[in-house]
Amino acid sequence: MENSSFSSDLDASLPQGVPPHEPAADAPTDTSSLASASASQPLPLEPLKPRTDFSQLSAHTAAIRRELAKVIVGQQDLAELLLTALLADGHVLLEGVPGVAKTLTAKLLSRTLDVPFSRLQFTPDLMPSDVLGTSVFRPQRGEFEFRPGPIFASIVLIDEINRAPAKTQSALFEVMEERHVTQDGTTYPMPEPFLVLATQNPVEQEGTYRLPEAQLDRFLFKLHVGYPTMEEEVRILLGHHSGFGGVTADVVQPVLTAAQLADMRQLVRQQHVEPKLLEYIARLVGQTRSHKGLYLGASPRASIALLNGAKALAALRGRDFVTPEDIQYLAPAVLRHRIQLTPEREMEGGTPDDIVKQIIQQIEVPR
Amino acid sequence: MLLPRVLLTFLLFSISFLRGMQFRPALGLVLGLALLAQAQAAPGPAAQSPLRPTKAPIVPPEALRSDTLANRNTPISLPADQQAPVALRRPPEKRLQDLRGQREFQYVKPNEEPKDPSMWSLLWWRLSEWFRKLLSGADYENRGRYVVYALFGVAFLYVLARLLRLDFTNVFGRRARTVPLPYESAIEDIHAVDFTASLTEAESAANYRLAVRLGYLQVLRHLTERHLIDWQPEKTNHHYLQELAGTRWAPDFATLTRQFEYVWYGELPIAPGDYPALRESRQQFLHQLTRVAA
Repeated sequence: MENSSFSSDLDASLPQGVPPHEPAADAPTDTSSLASASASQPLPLEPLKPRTDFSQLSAHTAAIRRELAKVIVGQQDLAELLLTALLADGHVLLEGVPGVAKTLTAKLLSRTLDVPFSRLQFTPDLMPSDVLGTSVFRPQRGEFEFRPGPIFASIVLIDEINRAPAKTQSALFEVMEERHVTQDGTTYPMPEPFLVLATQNPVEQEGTYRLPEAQLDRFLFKLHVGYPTMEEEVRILLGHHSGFGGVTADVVQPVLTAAQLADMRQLVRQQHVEPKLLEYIARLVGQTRSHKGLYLGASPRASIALLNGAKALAALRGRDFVTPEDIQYLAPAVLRHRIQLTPEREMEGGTPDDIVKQIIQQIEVPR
Repeated sequence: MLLPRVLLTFLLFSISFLRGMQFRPALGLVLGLALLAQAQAAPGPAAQSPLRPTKAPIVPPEALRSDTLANRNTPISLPADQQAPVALRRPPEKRLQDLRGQREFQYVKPNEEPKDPSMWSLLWWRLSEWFRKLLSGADYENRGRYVVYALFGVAFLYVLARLLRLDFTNVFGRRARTVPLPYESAIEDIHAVDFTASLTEAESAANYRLAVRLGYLQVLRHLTERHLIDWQPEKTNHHYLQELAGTRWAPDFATLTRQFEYVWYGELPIAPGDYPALRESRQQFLHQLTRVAA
């Protein structure tokens, strides 16, 4: 079993389209004997054994992927990053133009978990008490009673989060970071797990408010939801055409309980990280604070987010340790909403992702 | 003739504006203004159309013309001036000084040095005097105007540099600061390491983790020397796997990569009995690589 999990990890780490032991097209021509020798004598099996059993975790995440794939076409990377955030216990901000299934993906992910779910549609006139809850007076008892708001759920889907002004958005500061709500001097803890999935349209569109930096920093990832490819779009159309309107969300069933998720998160927390990789994370995030194209760099919270995300991604990929690939893969999603470009760089058409890419290219991978 | 041209200009501009094209209104406006300018610059109607009959000059009647001074033959004699020379009157000096001292008659405010000045006000006065002299009077002709030209030149170059998106920040000193974090692997060059000696040393010291790492770096160097991968410090192992995708070396290199990652990043302890298998896999890969190259 252990060897088989190793093999699956190897297969996962192979680039797309690499057939095992296929003769090379650009290999030297005088190698026929060697090629046969290589095929007949594979490299000896390594005497290495993984320290953590990820079979349950792999089974659960595969089940979630299957459930999502019943409705969502494509978006494999998005599903992987959402699962990573779920394992890393971090909130996710989904950004994309209307109509690319941001809300649907978030809603379906919440359906795969057997935990309380609530949805908030942010509007310009929404008040903080509409989110957090409010105290109402009970004349019979002669006292105030706290009525919890819709934020009191395990999975909270906040749709169009940038439609509400900063006053309402700032109501989320405490609950997103500290996982509790303080009202009238009383602190109400949030249930476990607690995950905020927020969607927003790009701020260039009318009727939106830019999220405060303090709130953006509370999101583990900001994920761009892009357009599907031509093949994926044809599959979407085929699904809608054959189903006369598409598959309903009811086909997605809960496959994970809160207790199972807690166990998985415990495994993630125990992931091994080599000290040089901690330095690598610190250098990556530290460079954002001194880059000349950036007006605002990332905070130490970003370093922690990158570390937690990398540990979760490594577990998702069947490893009990973090590699530089995990860090590089997650760096844009962790950093893009935590850094601000200088006006000059913004006028030149630069994006945060460009800067993150530059920084990654500037720092040597520990090896 | 001017009114039709004005109307024509307005008509051209209106038509082109209604067409809704982006540059047509400007084109119509330019065309109309050109016609107007031609109308203004053109000579008068008489010179412009020689065939048009000219008006006859107005001539005074004969009776009036015969009584002018030019027709008289007798000279005119004027009486001599008998008056005394005009005496120049001067206002009293005191009165003149009073008037000069009044504020209403101070047409030009004298920029006098402040009386009983502080160092700060004296500095400002001298600075303003220097600028005033530089930008007016003879100093402007001699020196000041060149300063103004230079300022305009610098502003033009700045605008040009911004338009061309030239970045001189590195030239003028602002550099991206580097975070001072010690990082010893940054100074390691795989082309400069004596892998045979280092490997022997690590194996004899039973430091198998280091030996696996050195062995993997040796593999990377051989792949680089055979131009199978493009070694760069910022690339991860996955990048090299992608570069080898489709070649015969990809599967075995993936195995070696996995070994390295479990041992180095995962820090899995290696028993002395397990290391020979790892060394064997590396040597087998290098042997094949060397034989193919030969």
